This record gives sequence, C-alpha cells and structure tokens, in this order.
Amino acid sequence: MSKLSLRTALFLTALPMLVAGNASFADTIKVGAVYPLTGPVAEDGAVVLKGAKLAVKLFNDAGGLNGQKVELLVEDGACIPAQSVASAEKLLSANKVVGLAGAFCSSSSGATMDVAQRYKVPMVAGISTAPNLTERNNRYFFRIQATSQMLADAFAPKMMSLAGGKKVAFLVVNDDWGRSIAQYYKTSLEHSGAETVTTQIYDVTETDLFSYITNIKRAAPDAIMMAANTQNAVTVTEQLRQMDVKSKLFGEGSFTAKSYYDAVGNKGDGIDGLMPYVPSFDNAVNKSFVEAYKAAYGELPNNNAAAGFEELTILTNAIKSAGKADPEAIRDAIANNATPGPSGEIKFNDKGQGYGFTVFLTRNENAQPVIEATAPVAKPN
Amino acid sequence: MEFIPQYIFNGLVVGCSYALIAVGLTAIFGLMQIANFAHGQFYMLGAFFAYWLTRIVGLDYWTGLVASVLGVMLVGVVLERTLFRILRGASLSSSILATIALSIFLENLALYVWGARPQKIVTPFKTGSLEFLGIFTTPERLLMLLVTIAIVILLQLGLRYTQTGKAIRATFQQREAAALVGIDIDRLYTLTFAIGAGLAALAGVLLGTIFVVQPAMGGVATLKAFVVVTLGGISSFAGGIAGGLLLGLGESFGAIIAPAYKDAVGFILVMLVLLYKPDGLFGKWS
Repeated sequence: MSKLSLRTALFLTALPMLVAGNASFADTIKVGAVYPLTGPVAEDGAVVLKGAKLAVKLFNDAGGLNGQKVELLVEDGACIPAQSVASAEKLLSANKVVGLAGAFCSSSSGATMDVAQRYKVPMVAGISTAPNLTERNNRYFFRIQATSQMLADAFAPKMMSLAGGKKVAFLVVNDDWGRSIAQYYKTSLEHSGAETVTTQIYDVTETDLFSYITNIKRAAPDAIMMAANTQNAVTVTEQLRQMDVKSKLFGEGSFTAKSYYDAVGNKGDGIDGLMPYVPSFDNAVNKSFVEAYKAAYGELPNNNAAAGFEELTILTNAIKSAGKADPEAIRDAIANNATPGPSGEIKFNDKGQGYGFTVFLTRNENAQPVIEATAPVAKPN
Repeated sequence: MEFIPQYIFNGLVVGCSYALIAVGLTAIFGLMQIANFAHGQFYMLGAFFAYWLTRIVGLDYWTGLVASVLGVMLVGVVLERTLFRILRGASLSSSILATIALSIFLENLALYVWGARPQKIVTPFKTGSLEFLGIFTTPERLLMLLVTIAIVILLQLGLRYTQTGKAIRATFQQREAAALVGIDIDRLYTLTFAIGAGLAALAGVLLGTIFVVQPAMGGVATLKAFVVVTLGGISSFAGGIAGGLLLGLGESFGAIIAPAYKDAVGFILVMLVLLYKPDGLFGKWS
C-alpha cells in the first residue's frame, strides 16, 4: 500500500468515529460526567458510569421533566487533573451541560470544581473523599460521600478494638485521597489510643510493593490501614499475603468491588472495609436500586455503582424540582432539598458536604462484604 | 539489618524485569535509530495475549507463554514492515511522534478488546509464597530472575558466536559499511525488532502472574525502560542489563530512606549519570 492510500484508508476509518462522537439530540437536557475511563482506575470509573446511566434511564422512563428527557454526556478524565479539567471545559462550553458529575479521584475533582464554579454550573461528586474539597467556598460543589475524616471519626474506636493492639501502619496511594487518609485516620486512631509506626505511600501506577511491605513488616504493626482502588487493591492484597503479613487489615476504596473479588478470590477475606455503601443494606430505595441494577447489568452494585447512581439521581431530581434546565435553579434545588439514596437520605450543609446517610464497616467473608458496624453521618460544622 | 537481604532480592527481581524490557528498546534504538515509545505496549500486549490464551482459550501457562511471545513478535514484524519502514531515515522527532501515536492506539485497542478490568494470568505454580534465608518471595518472582539470567546468557552467546549476531554487531557499528559487505539490513531490522518486541512480551507474560494485567501498564514500562537505557548508555547491551539492575536496587533501597520518593530515585540516578558520565555507564555496544 502506498503512503497516500494508507493515509486515505486511515482517514476513512476515523471518519465514522468523528461523526458518531458528535451525535446528540437538540431537545434533551444535557448533563455531563467526567469519569476515569482510561488509565489505572478505568475499571472503577466504568462501574460509576453504569450506576450513573441507570439513574438517568430510570428518570427518563418515569417521564423525565414533563416529557423532556435528560441526556448524559460522558468524557474521560483519566483521574488526571489536567485532563479532567479539559473534559469539564468541553462539556460546559461546547455541550452546554446544566449539571456536572465526577471526577472520581479527589485531585481531579479539586481541579474540576473550579471550572464548574467559573461556568456557574452545579457539580456533584460521589467518590472523592479528600476532606479539603468542601472547605474551598465553592457554592456550586456538592459532595455526597462521607469524607475520610468522617469515616475515621465514626469507626476509629471499633477499629482499635478489632486491631487487638496499639501499633498501626498506613499503606496508601499517592494522591489527595490517599494522603488525606494517612492524615485523618492517623488523628482519629491516635485519639483512640493508637500509635502510628510507619506510613508508606505508593504511586497509583506502581505494581511492585514489596519494598513498602518490607518496611511495614519491619515496623511490626498490629493493624494496617490501606487506601486503594481496584488495581492497587488487588496488588496490595496479593503482595501482603505473599509476604505473610499477619496484621489486621482495614481499607478504604475498592476492597468490596466485584472486580476485586474476581481477581483475589478468598485472599481478601478478613479485610475490613470502611464503606459508604453495601448492597445488603436494608432500605427501600436500596432494594429497588439493587433490583434495577441487577436487571440491567446482571451483577450486584458496589460502592462505586451506588455513587454514580446517586450523583445522577441528585442532578435529575434537582432538574425536576427546579422545573427548568437552568443551572442556577438546579444548584438551589440541590442545596435545599433532601434526596433519597441507597445509603439513606442525603442533605447538604452550607459547604456542600452531604450528611444524613449511613456509613458501614464491613468484613470480607467468602468474597462478600458482611456488615460489621454501621454509623449515621451527622451534620458536619 | 535482618531485612537487608529482602530489599536486595526485591530490587533484583524488579531490576530483572526492567532489564528485560530495556534490552529490546536498546537494540531497536542502536540498530534502527528509532526511539520506540510504544515499547511498553509490546510488554502490555504480551501480558494480554497470555491472559487471553490461558484464561479464555484454556492453554496451559508454558504453551501460553511461548505462543504469546511469538504472537507479539509477529505483531512486531508486521509493524516493522509497515510503519517503521515508512519511518526509516525520518527525523528522530517524527519517529517519536509516530511511536507515541502507536502507543496510544495499542493501549486503547487493548482497552476496547479486553476492557479496563485488572486481570491475572493463571500461574503454573501451586505454592503461593516461599521463604529462604529470611527472604519472602514467590515462585513467579524466582522464575523472573532465572529467565532473565538465561536470556542474558543466550543473547550474549548469540551476539558473539552466530553469523547473525556478528552481522547485528557490525550494523550497530557502521550501518553503511555493513551494507557494503553484503549484510541484508532489511532482514536484520525485522529480526531485531521482532526480538526486541518478543523480549518485552516475555517480561509481560512473566510479570502478569506476579502483578495485574491492565491496558495502562505499558506507559510506565516505557518510561522505566527509557530511564534504564539512559542509565546504562544508549545502544549498549551490557548497559541495559546493568542499568535495569541498578534502577531496581536503587528503588528498593530508596524505599527505605524516603518511600514516597522511591520513583524519584531513578531520575536522580539519571541526572547524576548524565552529569558525570554523559554516555551512560557503559559506552558503545562492544
């Protein structure tokens, strides 16, 4: 094939993708989402998207806003702050979305929320738990997740009694979320009598954690607190088992995800998860969510699916209560209304931090999460 | 002190994987003057081929290993005959742009075909964890170490004593002169490219039993391989091996001093080497 015809062939192959990428309908209300669909957290991002799509489908099936349907436009932020910002810019300026969901990783949400503020469009974050996000005076930002600080405060005494000793170590991923876990759990656990012996921070793309685990073994902790999404959680679990670490394990992130259980099987048993959602939670909204999710995807939802579902439920409900596709009215509707969710009803304080729902301490048994303790999330100051 | 052997062993295993990936990169650069930024994606493809062959098709690990390496070599041959032949003689920046594009294409192809879910290759070993001399390890890690040693010896013998090895070394030194004495440069390029891609794939199949297989795994591998190649000296075979081991050990011991900056160790080493020994630790290919 000559150079010219090769180039023509490539162009012809690319053409349908360009056309398909721009297909959207003029008469819908557009809502945007920035999730990691490539990169190391792509699997978790894909699950969030499943939940988000389900919420939009249920809203549209129930008639939408007086018959007008909501259309979800998704962009890949890859959990890279710069790429997430570019994706949000595109959704806000080119697609004119009236609400934004995302951007999964705290570092990316922190960068994206400034863009949402600039365009005066509400943004709902369902995953990002770094506490400082709701301390930035951004009236367009709403977080439906309990922060690491709130989870730590809720369960620190219980964690210490399960640890059976005072010495704790941290093994966390190097981003805003992981570092805030090392910071806030340390404070809460030390309030409950713990002594921090070592903090190990690994990069999200790292695959060999033996050096860090060797450091932890040397410090001989009674318990290890971890922060990891699916890919890292699998690696951390396997390598802790390979190095024969006997400490009690706690984790935030994807230690109860289906993809996690599929990869590690029973090696994850005995690990406690600090979770914003558990599919077995006894609550009417959750039961219908689990049913609808199973019908749509043939598997149980995890915390990421529930977060995506809740992000879009809040946005679509707010569109309905606002009665029009106006970003400012939607923002006010989110701020003033309580929305039912799979983990209980969610309200927001003045800083946009959600509260009122339940959080969970779970234990993995036979590759399933079992509820060990629950705690209500009180209104934060 | 009792943990020192563990740190050394950790570093050696990781260093071997770096070396295995970097040797191919070095060979391709030295011979063809192409900085292949898609090299890590051959490593990723190797891992996914093996995952697909062992998990989905149901072959045993060893057959899967050989088939995956051959499969990626074939991909390498096809790419060398098409894309890289067009790039021959093009400026370095064109080849860099083209290979970066190739890396993005291959990563997204993997994402499309196999999905983002992290996967494991079925291991051929029954035992999960081994302990000797106070060192904890796994049979998969030992295999990585042994295979790298075997490959290094085979490559060294092949380069030194076979006709093709001599031809490769001659082309390395002086491409035009080698062509003048009747060495078939085209055939050599294809062969070198296939071997380089195959070695990266081999590393992918071996590491896929230790770590997880995921479309994004290639990018980091490329980055590390370039660090290794710069450390050891561009287009030096021994340098690729030494650079890999040095980086692995450097990172392992760096983790004791400042765990959060473990990855910076490699780049600090590169800066030091470039300052004091700009051609890398080892000069030209011998």
